[in-house]
Amino acid sequence: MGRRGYDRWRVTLAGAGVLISGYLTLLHFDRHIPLVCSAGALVNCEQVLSSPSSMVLGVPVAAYGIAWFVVAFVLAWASLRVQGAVEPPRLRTAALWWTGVGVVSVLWLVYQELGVVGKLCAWCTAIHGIVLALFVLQVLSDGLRTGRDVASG
Amino acid sequence: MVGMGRHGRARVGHRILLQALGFLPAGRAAVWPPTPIARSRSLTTFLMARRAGAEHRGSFQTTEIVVARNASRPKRGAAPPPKRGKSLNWLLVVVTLALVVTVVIAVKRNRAQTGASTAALPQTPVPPAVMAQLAGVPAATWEQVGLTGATPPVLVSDTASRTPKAVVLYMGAGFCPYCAAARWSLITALARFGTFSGLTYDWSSMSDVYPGTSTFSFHGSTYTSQYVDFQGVELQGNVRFSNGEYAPLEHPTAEQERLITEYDAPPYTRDTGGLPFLLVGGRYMWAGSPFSPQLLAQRSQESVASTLASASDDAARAILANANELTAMICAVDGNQPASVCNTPLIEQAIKALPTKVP
Repeated sequence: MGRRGYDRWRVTLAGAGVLISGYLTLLHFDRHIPLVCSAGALVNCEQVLSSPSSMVLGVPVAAYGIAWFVVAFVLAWASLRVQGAVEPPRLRTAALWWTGVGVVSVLWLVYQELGVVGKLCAWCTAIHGIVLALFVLQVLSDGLRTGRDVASG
Repeated sequence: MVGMGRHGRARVGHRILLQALGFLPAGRAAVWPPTPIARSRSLTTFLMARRAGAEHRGSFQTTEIVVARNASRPKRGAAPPPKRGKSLNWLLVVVTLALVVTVVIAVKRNRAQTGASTAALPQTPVPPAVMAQLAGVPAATWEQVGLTGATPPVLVSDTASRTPKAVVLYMGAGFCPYCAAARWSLITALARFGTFSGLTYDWSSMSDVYPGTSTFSFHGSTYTSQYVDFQGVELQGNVRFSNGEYAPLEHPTAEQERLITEYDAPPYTRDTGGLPFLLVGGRYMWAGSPFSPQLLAQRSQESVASTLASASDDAARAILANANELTAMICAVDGNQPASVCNTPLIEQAIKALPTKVP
């Protein structure tokens, strides 16, 4: 897969992240929206989303998720726009650091889910998976970003 | 390759050497010797072309080499391409390890926390100052809050109660966060008709939704009123056994059990047996929390109680609006007594707005 292929995946995943984060944020503010999630012994979205860990500085964590994914989307889109040329080092570095911030946040959130609340939220786990996937894509494609895009896919 | 002589063997040796040095791919890609066009080119030219990505099965067209040369040279005035950085794949290993360590630490912490949560919470009596705040909401505040955001009850029977006092039956549980929220409205409403004593602080379960919602427990408390017969039944506490069940606390009478079985079910409610269950005068019912326990998240009893007099935040307004609704239910079944509570414009209006049809 060439650099463009990686970037298309980044754009798609970041877009999906915005949608899921948006859904979870709406759930927080409008209780009439149905929460599509099981309520089992391990997976219980409502328990996670209503826990104190779901808020940071009075703002739902999902709202921070929207902001993070919007930035990730913009960075991925900008990379995609750089066709057949060397990606600006600042863009490459920014994307790498931004996904790094995402990974650290995911580690904290996983700890809150499993360690503090004791439950997993399926939607949150999907978001965590997307953040980790974006990080992996960024790392794997890093070498391609330092050269010309001769293997665009 | 037919009749390979001394020169042919030398070329094969040359190829092996280049492969060993990494200049030639080890597989099928390179064909040696090159085609006649490229044969006259020097090894340096070949390597330059190969680095530029112009290699094609070991044969080189002159134009490709020129393009490759030009491509490999920075254009005049243009910034040179950055050097290929070191592989960052080690980051993937670090992140994987960090994820595994995080999960292990989290699971261990949760197990330790679950063991600790089975210990009984202390029963702390509600201080007189907080009781005064619960019972001392000014009339102006009641009027100011009104019924905005209040949850209307369900009419389960259109038969008037024949008891001398209005029976208010509450059935809930200590672990239940919805019961925790409902108790706030219940206590502030009932305080308009009588007096509580022996209330204790309580919190909903830490391992359920809206963990640790601050509230009070009716277990061990008494309520005296000349208008209302309050029956508070806390079915379970908030202490969890190792099998995941909560400890039973109080047992309902057969009549109370009949009422919750009959009315806390469709068509009166969406689900069967939800807590809390509140029945006023055998007619008006609330099943579930009248407002979201989220409003009480990370708030202490003192913090919430201190805002009631002025209804200065969302939690206080939700508590008092639903207490107004409950007051109207009680007034509707006890003959509008006492007049100081029931004959206010707000409560009279709320009584008129109560449902009149049984589902």
